[in-house]
Parts: sequence; C-alpha cells; structure tokens
Amino acid sequence: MKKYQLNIILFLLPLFFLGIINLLATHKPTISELENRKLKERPPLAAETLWNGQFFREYENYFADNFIFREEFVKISGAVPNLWGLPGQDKVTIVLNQGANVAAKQNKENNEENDSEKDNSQTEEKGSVTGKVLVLNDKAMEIHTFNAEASKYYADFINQFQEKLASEDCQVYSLIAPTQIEFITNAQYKKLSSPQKETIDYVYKHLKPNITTIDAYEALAQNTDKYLYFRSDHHWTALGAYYAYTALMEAKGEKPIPIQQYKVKQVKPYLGSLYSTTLSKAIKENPDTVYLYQPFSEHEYHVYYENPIKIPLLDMRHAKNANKYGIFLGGDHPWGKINTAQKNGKKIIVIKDSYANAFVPFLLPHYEEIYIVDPRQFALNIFDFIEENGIQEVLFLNYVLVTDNNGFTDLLREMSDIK
Amino acid sequence: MVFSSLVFLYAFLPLNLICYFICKNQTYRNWVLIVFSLVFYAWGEPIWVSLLIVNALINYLLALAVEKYRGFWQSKAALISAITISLGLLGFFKYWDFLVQNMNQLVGISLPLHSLGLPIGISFYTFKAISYLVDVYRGEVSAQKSFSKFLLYLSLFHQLVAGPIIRYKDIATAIDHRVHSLSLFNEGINRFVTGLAKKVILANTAGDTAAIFLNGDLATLPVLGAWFGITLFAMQLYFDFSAYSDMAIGLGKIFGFNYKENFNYPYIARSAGEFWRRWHISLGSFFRDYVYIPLGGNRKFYLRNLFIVWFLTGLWHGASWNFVLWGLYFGLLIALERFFLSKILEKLPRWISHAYLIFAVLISWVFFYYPDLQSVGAFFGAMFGWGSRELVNTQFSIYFSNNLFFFIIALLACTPITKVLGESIRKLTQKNTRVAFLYSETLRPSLNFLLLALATIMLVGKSYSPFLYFDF
Repeated sequence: MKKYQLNIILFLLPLFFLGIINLLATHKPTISELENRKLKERPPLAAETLWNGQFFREYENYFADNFIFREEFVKISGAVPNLWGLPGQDKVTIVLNQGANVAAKQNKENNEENDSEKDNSQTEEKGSVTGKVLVLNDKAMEIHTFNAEASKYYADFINQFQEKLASEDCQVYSLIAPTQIEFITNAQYKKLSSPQKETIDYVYKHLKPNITTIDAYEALAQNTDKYLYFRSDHHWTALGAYYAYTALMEAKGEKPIPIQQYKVKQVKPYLGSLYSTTLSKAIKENPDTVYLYQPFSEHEYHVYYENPIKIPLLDMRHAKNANKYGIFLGGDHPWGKINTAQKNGKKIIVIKDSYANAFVPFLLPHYEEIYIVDPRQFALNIFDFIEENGIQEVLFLNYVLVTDNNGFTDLLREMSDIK
Repeated sequence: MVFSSLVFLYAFLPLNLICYFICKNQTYRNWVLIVFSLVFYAWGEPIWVSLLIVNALINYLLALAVEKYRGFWQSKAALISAITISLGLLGFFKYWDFLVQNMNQLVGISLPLHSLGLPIGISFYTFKAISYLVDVYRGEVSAQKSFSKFLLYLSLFHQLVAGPIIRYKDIATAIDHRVHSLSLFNEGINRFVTGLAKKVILANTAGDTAAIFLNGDLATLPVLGAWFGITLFAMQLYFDFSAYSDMAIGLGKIFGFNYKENFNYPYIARSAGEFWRRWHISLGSFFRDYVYIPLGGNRKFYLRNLFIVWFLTGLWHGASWNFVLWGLYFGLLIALERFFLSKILEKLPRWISHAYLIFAVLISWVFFYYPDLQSVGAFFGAMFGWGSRELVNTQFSIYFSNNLFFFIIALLACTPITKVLGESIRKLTQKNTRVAFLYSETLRPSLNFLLLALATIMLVGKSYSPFLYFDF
C-alpha cells in the first residue's frame, strides 16, 4: 500500500460506509423497549419549522435515534464509564438519569463563547422523573432529595382538592410510598438520599386534619427482610404494595386479607426501568422476578380511552415485554374502572402514579367499584366525575419522589384545575 | 451544526468531501465550500445566514473603499464605518439586552429587550471581519476583489462557529491557490480525529462529572468536592475548546488551508501572562494587535490599556458581569506579575510558579462558571472550607474512585506528553525507517480508527434516554 493510504482509508471508510447504510437501512425499530420510548421520527419538512430551526433540531435527534447499530453502540457506550475508575469494595456508582436530548444539548455546545451557560434547557418530559440513581452492587435505587417547597406544594394541593369536593362525606386519604434506598443497611450510602420518613411526615403534617394519612412507611419498615422492591426498577413489588395496603386497611379499621390467601405466579427474568437507566452489568446478571398475586374475587376491569376496553387486571401480554411492571393494571391509562362482585356499595377512586398499579389489585375484596385515575392523561372534570359516580373515598397514592420537584403536582393541579 | 455530531460526521462531511474533490477547478471548489458552509451555519439557525451574508457584503465593499482611497480621508471613514457597523451588530445582538437590563435596574426605567438570541459565531466572524479591514487599511494585505472569495473567508465552516479567529492575510493565498496532498490529508485526519476524541471522550466526560459538583447544593459541598469539580470544569473547557480548534485545523489541512495554532498546552504555563499566550491564542493576539498596541501598548498609559483590553476580553466571552470580572481578574494578575510578582516567582522553584498559575486559573474559572456573585462566594466557601464543612463525603468518594483513571488520563492529556512521545518516536524513526513505517502506516491509522469508532459509539450513546414512564 502506498504511503498515507491506510490512514485515509480507515478514516473515510467508516464515514462513507455507515453514512450509506444509514441511508439505505429500512428495517429499523420504531420503539426502543430498553428505553421505554418511541424513537424519533423523521420530522416533516415545513417552511415554519425550517425557518425557526426546529426542523434541524428534530432531524438531529431523528438521525441519532435511527443510527445504524444504535442498540449495540448504546450498550458499549454504557459500559465505557466502568473503565474510568476503581469500583471499590462495594460496586457503587451514581448514574444521572436525565433523559438526555442530543439537539437540546447542541445549543450549548454551539455557543463556545458562551459556554458557561449551565442551563441545559433539556426538553424535560413533564411528570417524568429526572434525577440521580445509586447503583449498589446489583441494586439500583433512585435518590430522593427533600424539597420543602415542593413537598408543601403537594400537600397544599391535596388540601385544596379536598375543599373542592362537592360532598362533605367524601373521605380523602393520602399514602406516600417510601422507596428502596430508605431501607438499605449501609448508613453511608443511605445518607446520599434525604431521609424519607421526614419527607413523608412533613407532607402529612401539612395536610388538614380531616384528611387521613396512611402510614405505609411503618408497615414496610417492619418487613425489610422481604422482597419489597425490585432491584432493577424504581417500583415496589406486589409484596411491597401489599404491606402498604395493610396500612390502609388499618387506617380504615378493616381487616386486610392475609397474603397467604393469594395464589402466586412468577414472571422472570425482569430487568426494569433502572436497569435501562444504568445498564448495570451486575443487575443484568441477577435480574428480578415479578410475583403476581392472583386476584380471587370476581371482577371486570375496563380502561377508558375514547371507548372502554376490557382487559385483564394482571395483563399477561406485558409479560413478553421488557417492561413487565406493565402487567399490573396493564400499565398506565387515562382512567380505569374495576367492578367487583362485592355488592357493598363502596366506591373508591385512586389518583395515582404507577406505584398504585401493584397496589390496586389488593383492594378488590373491599370495594364494589374502584376507579383509577392517572393525572398525566386524565382529561375529564375530576370533581364532576367523583360526584356523578357516587364515589365516597379518594386515595392519593404516590411515591415519595413526586415531592422532589413540582412536576407531578403540577399535573395533579392541572387535572383538577387548581392553581 | 457542530463537528462532534453524527449528522456532521456521517452525512455532512462525506458529502462535502465528495463534492469538493470531484471538482477539479478551484472556483468550483470554493463554491462547494461556500454552499456547505452556509448549510452548516443554517443548520439550527437559518435566519442568521442572512445576517452573515449582509455582514460579509458590507465588509467586502468597505474594504474595497479603504483600499481605493488609500491616503485620503475616505479610507479612514470607510474603515471606521466598517468597524462601527460590525461592532454595532455584535453589540446589538450580544450586548443590547444586557445593557438594557442594567440601565433599567440602575435608572428605574423599562426599556424593552429584543430577546432575539445570539446568532451563532457572531463574536468570531465579527472579529475576523475587523481584522481584515484593519489589515487592509494598514496595507498588510490587499483587499479581496471577489465577493465570493471574501464570503468564503468569512463563512468557512471549519472555524465559523467557534474559532480560531483566522486572519485573512494568513489564508489569502490559500483562498486563491490551495495545495492538496495525501500527506496533508493524512495530517488533517490525525489532527481531526485527535480533536474529535478529545471532545467526545474527554470533554464530555469531564463536563458531566463537573456539573454534579458545580450544580449541586453548594452549602453542603465538601472541600475536596469543590476542588475536584472546578478542576474537571477547567479540563472540560480546555478539552472542549482546544478540541474544536484541533478539528478546525485538521479540516483545514484536508481542504488545503493552514490555520495557526490556537492552544499551546495552557495549563503548563507558569504565569497568567504566559497562560494567555498559550490559551485561545487567536483571541489574545487579536486584542494585542487591534486594541492594545493601537492604544499605546506598554509605552504610554500602560495600566489603562491593560485594563481596557481585559475588560473587553471578559465581555467578549459573554454579556454578563461575571465575565467582565473574570477578565479584570486576569488583568490584575498580569499587572501584578509585571510589577513584581514575576521577579519573585522566577527566584522560587519551578513547581511553585506552576502551582501559582494552576491555583490562579482555577479561581478564575469559578467566576467564569457562576453568573452571580452569590454562587461565586458560596463556591469559594466550599473550596476554602468556610463554616463547618466536611473535607469529603460519600458522593465525592464514589465519584472520585469511579473516575480515578479518567482523571489521571485527563491530567496527562493537559500536558504535552503525547507531543513529546510523538517527537521521540519521530527521532527514533529517523534512524529506522521500518519503525517509522510501522508507526505512521500502521499504528497511527489503527489508533485513529479506534478513536473514531469510540467517539461514534459515545455520540450514539448520548442519544440514549430511557424514560421511567412510558413515552409513547
């Protein structure tokens, strides 16, 4: 080979080769299961978006999202940080979970003369969680940061919501679920996260006395030897949800159904959302198992989009997907309704994040109708909805990280038209 | 567009190379470069292409006038109008809002902001245009008769959005007659890939970790966390900026342009003065040649000239007081060094002057990073352990041990170690042609290939954005 040729060929070949097969490859995935999101589509060419630059930003995202061998490249790139240091005795890392957006970051990089601008104006998905994740050996856990203002914002919302309810007999419950990091034994790593007991107490303290607070914390704290939380996902397991359910029953003065009454099915292996975030090898080698406590009461479950759709309460179609937590209630829907054979006239509405999905199935033996509302998608007037359906109990069930910032509460407020 | 993006690497650049090298005629090649440069610029901010072209047209015409009326008052008038228009546009887009905000606050009026945003690269191409006009006026170079060739100089995408501030006289001949060769192409690749890897692997990694310490709660930031954070930020700035210059110089070589060096291992300097002769050289020399020396330089009003230059240098970096403060801080250091500090430092062991410079620069980056004095104060509080502050905490220990190797590599990358290594290889290979061949024809190409692959993989990795809630 002539002088310089190898260098030039080795440089140009990948550029042209990848460039061309990028153009030609047609069978590309449209959904990334690993990331739990739709991949960006080619933006439509329009004068307006072209002129204001939006087209180019979206095209850049589209180009990156549809790059050839993307999934493989992503996995390799996820392993690179492992080379940067010593893992130490405990394999511990902190991973940022910030839904990075290629073009949004580009703005900053373009502006070299202004590169002190820290304001990474990312296109942050409203209501999605951004923050830090601690990976301790084969366990990934979201880190909670106490935010007095946001906690009060959440509590105030529930107070205002209660005041706006038409019927005074409607009882409001608040259940804030602690997360896994609160119950790890290593005090040093636990300190990375704000004490959740204090956050929960802070919110509960700011609730009006006629709102009943549910002490799920204690019920979970007494059972930390059990499999209460997934190691690869930010949710609790059905068993964790069960202990929270016993706390609700205790507050209501009712007897919880013993867990032994349920038949259990297993789905494995499960690698959940925090595996996706961290791509931790240790977690991948030791995946989770989803235990499903089979409801024994007779029931019918509908989820409502334009039209009601009847689906199973534990929707096994999701067992094939990456996101197996989606089995519970079939994932998040604008709203859903469960009719049971308990003709006791009791009706409850659960306004919730996805923590409630594993929780709700345990309510079946206690209510005739259970309504499930996801504030991220619910579009009806919630107060009319409660009144028209004769609902007597409202349960707000969220995990503690919704108090880290105003994002989720804003959605709750928007849904309820509370400023 | 930026060089370190997949669209640039895998669509723009291959297309540009094909179109360019398919043409054999210099004029066509120039037009290829102009069209690609305008697309490069338009990518993201299409509106401002018009501003760039208008700017080029004005400066092109006025430079012709400067030359035509040489020796008459019209020449000076043309020069002054050109500079006024260039600075006026820069001032309007970059500083108007800042000025108005300060005026409003000071006087209690409410003048409106334009909020148009900053056209990318305007700070760079404005300075390029000014240097051209002044050089024509001084007779150091003759005015470009062809508008397209002048537009090529002003818009050339290699150094359009982030420097270096190339002077027209340095590439005037290349615009008319360029030499392309496999040898230059080869060197260009080496340089470009080095820059790409520096940006994607080193700068991005340093920046991600730095942000965790700099953007966190400063009240509880431990002492070592603060030092670690600001050191990583210093690395990020250097890698980011010098990588951009590396890539510009590399692309220049591929297309037959020879750009001057813009960075020369600034962190090995031993005084603030030396640091600025090594950091963003094209900016420092711009201020030296077009502001400092015309003002009188060292000869008269030394201190006034010095502080004007450093005030402007600070302000150039951004329309905010923290940048002004940052610039004046360097002005102060340089004045002190000139009066007595240098004499003292010269007598002390070398490591002390190194330590002095590193310390002084790290302090300066705190001003650079935080736009408000409150955060600057809080961060100094963390660096110097004011209040009851921990030396280390768990978060710091985790990040430090997880990034230890990276940190060492990054530290080494700030020093000329690879250059020294390269040089010794060259010396070695002068005697032994087989080793020379092995290095330049096998090792270096393979290394480039690996770095390009790794950079690509990491750029694709940046698009990875998992959602906790399903985003359909």
